[in-house]
Amino acid sequence: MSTVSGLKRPQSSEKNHRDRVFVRATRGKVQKVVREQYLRNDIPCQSRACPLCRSKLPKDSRGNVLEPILSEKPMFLEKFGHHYLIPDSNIFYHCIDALEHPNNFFDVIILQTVFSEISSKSIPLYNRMKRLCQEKTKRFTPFSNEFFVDTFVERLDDESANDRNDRAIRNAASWFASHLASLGIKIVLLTDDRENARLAAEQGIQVSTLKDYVQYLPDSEILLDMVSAIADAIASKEQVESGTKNVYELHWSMSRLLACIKNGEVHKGLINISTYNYLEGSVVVPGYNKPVLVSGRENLNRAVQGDIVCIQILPQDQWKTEAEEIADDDEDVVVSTAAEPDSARINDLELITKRNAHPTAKVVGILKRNWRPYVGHVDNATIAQSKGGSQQTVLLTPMDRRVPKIRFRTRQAPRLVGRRIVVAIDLWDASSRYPEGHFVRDLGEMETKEAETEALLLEYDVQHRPFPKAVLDCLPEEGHNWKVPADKTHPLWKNRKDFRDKLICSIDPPGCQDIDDALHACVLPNGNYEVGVHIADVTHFVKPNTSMDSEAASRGTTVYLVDKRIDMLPMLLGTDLCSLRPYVERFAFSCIWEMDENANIIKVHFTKSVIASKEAFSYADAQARIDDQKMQDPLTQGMRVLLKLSKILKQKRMDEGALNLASPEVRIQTDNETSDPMDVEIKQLLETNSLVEEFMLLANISVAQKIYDAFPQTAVLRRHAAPPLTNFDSLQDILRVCKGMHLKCDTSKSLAKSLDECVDPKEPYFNTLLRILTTRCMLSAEYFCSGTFAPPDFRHYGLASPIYTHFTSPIRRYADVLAHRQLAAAIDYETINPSLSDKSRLIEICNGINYRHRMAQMAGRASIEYYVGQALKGGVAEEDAYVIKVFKNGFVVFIARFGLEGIVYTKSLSSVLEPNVEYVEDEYKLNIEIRDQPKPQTVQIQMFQQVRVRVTTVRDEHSGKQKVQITLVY
Amino acid sequence: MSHFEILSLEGLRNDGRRWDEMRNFQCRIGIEPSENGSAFIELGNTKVLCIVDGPSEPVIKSKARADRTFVNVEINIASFSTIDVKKRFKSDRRIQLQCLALQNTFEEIIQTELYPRSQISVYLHVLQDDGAVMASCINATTLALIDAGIPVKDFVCCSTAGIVESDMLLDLNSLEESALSWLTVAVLGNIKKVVYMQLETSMHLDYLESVMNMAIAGSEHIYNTMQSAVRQSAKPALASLS
Repeated sequence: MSTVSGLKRPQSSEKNHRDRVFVRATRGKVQKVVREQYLRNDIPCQSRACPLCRSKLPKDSRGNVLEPILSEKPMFLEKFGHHYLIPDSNIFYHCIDALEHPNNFFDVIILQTVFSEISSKSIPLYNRMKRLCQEKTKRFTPFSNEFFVDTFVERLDDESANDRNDRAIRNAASWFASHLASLGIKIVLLTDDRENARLAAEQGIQVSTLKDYVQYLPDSEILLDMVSAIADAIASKEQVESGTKNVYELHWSMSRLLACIKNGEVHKGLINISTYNYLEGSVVVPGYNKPVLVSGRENLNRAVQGDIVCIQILPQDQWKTEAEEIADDDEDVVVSTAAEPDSARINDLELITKRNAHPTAKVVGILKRNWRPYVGHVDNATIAQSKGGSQQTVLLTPMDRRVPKIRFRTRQAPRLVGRRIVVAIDLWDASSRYPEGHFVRDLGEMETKEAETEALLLEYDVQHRPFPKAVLDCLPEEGHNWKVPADKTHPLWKNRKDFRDKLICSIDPPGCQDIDDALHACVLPNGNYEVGVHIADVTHFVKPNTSMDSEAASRGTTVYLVDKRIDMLPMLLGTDLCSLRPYVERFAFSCIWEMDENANIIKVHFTKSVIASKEAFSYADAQARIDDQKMQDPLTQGMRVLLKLSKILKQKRMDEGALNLASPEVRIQTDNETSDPMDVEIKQLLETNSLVEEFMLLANISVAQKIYDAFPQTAVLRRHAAPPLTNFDSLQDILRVCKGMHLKCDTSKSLAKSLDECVDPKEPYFNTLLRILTTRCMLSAEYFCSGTFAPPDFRHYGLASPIYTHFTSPIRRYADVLAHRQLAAAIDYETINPSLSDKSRLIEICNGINYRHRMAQMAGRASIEYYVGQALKGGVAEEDAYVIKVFKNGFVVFIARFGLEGIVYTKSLSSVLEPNVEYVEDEYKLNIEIRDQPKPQTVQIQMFQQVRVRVTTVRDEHSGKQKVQITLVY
Repeated sequence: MSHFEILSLEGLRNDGRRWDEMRNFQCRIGIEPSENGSAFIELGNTKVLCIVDGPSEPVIKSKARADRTFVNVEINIASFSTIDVKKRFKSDRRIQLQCLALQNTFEEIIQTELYPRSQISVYLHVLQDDGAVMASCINATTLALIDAGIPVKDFVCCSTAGIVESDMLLDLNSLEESALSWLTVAVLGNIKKVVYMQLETSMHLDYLESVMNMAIAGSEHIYNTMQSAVRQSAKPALASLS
């Protein structure tokens, strides 16, 4: 029980209390809103040096004192003395990247006025500012100047809101200046607004523009690059304004867009740029059953991958088929602002009337930008060597092929050659061919493992900073010496079953450190089997509402890269205390079934437990032990029972219509010492793999049912929606034309069946290839909160299970942590934490982990791709490959041995004369006539065809980067 | 698309209060000399007027009790009291439930056996609603009853408290009420017994007790203000006696 200590009396003098009255319009109604505002006199200045404000420090409702943040000895500069900074809103809005620089800008005061101005402009930016304030090392502090009696200003009659805010900022700055004067600490107001600066100087406040200020800092060169292009643009706007020719059509005004969306003249949607051609995007729009294509620079009209755009459908005679051509990487490089007539890059639009013509459209406006910092490298050709240290404009080629090149200005151009760097887009004017941005960070030399890994993690938004101290503080004090208490009367043993005598073992990939599951099986006296799945009891260590919990929630999942693992939980838990290692006692969450001979579940029981694993096998070891008939010990026999039951379970699942989809999974063999990639191999699947998998699926399904029964509105489940039939359209057509086959895709069962039937006896790999392509037609599975969908939609299409959740890997997935907590509450082990019965909060968490999950998958794949490239470096390999996509000027092949996809351009087929290419679109076929001597010949390329390719790596002259090149061997 | 946060990083609420601070509480007693009893309460921007009539002969004879009086409560919420201008009818189910709750609460407090076969009418007018309306109605009724000279056993004092994440807040305004789960608690001022409690949102059981304690502490603060207001208003009457 907590007691409320000494309530403060309200301040009731007239001066300190006022009403804020404003008028707002919502849904066609005009409302007058009156809000109270209390002006206080006890807001501390947050400086550690200030003895006056020491006594004013407030406490929160848990009794913690909020300590001041600003250092007592802030940075010293000749010009300004020891000083704190007060930036105005526009500085944050345009130059937050510079302020976030880890070695510059400390002791910064963010005024409430600034916070509220930013929050009405951009929520993500607001959140970044909040994060800055929470980061202890940067010493950014919020200051509620609007609630402080000495700094509050009333809006004057003829004053605009902006002017009032500027005045409030100046007032706060001058209050700080006089408040801190006796301590020898000065204030510097940062503003790029000339009028504001003039007025501030009149009031006697030290004021500076960001650019001027930065010049006094040691890292000025880097910081100056980080100052956004917008700041420059604003400054130069007055001078230029006219005279430049527009490259693009102007975007429509927001009000016109909204009106036109309403009357159906334009459509809004998210634009997805093709990975093969960055000048072609597609938008899924209701009303058209096919994605609407937007192709060509003019039609894309400055849309960038992921933007929410407004499109206008073009007349029907301009409709065309999807991506006929692959865009080359090496584009004509133009740095000048002047518009260049587009060279022959854009397809000569033939008027085609085709049976599967896609509607096409052009972008007329952008509702919401999806800009983020982009990782890439500087295009060497754009760097003028002679200029030395002066500022120049260069182009960044982003890693993401879907993003256009970004132009930015830098003073350190020669130093950026061959480096991985991060650049943010600031604006994209109609008069500029490329978007304009500013330099954010240098990640290191290209092709080095560190820089590439860092780049990957940034590109996929993986949280990879080391765990902060607050998180590590949540770990048990004993560290690695933590043990299960020996005394069974210990409170930790309460409601925990003792399974230490059970013959439990774990089966994982070789070298696995985070063992989160273990199994056992034995014969019961009545002839049935007892099967147990034991999952690491992570929630015993990760309690809700701790910083470890929120850190895990924000990471969402552990990310596995080829040579690195970014943990969701600190190492101590992941690889030791929660890892069900052999020969030690560990806490576990157990799921025990009683099963009959035919693997029918007779009883299921969940309990928290203590286990001691007897052995940790790798898949291969376990397989060998089961196969070895000489081994007749109870543990091996238990494993045989598990294997037998798992086969029945798998058969049952297949009969239900579970899909067996293939995805190209490869393993990189690395050199142990240097972890340099040596070789690539396809992952081998043993029976024991599927043994573990079957029981994990079973545990997940049983748990899903249990938590759904207990919490029908808030259970955290996982669903996989059935793909719409139209997703299969193009694949079906290709199959029909090339192989004369047909897929039945109405249910997962019939799809599974017809996939089994699609076999080409001449090409054994064809079936796997088809499964890979089918997988790409599927939707992705997602976490959700049971209250948000109707029960029929809970279905997991791929696994053919009516209900499913993730329970078995709490060390590496946050969804499992939630499931653990809900299950613990469902079996009355503990009371449910409020955060787990709050539906809106759970929805938010689910969205977060879905996003992280997707990003982690993509990061993992990208990492493998990078390492495959590294493994191939220097060597030449000839491999079998399969054609999986055909374009007018090339085709895409899939090399099974490397799990690698690559483009072969037709022009690369011969070296002297460009080959004549005939593209038979209806048959997905290319007839390539090679005219080179000595032996002119015709090569035919068709979908699914097996071809021989040569894989080499070449150095790209523009980027200086290794590139995998694939050429056809004929 | 402004972003609304209940507690800022500095731990201030959207009107500048801290978690444990109440809004300005003011009460005036006997503002309608023509009525038997009247009181006007302001809690921040929430304004409630209460008129007490009686004891008098029951309008509805069938409701009369041989051994005691009965309390009839009517709440009138002015259409201009909230941001949305909306007419509310007395037949509104929610309003009727609140009337009933007030009736039951005050029949326990008033010494009803002193006035058999009679009726005490309480008319409440919510002039402005900025949160804690029910609490203000209870406080206003207590003062108006005292002003009317009807013998009551104790003051009934009421306030609200809520919880966001795990931070407790005292005395919520309407913006906060709509965003978090909260509780109305009324206690007897002198003996601190809880006589009324209302929870319309859901609240986790772990927090209930501490939130309740918070609201009780708020009620005590209100009790002190109300008592001094009563003493103040009684001064002229006492002076005329001596």
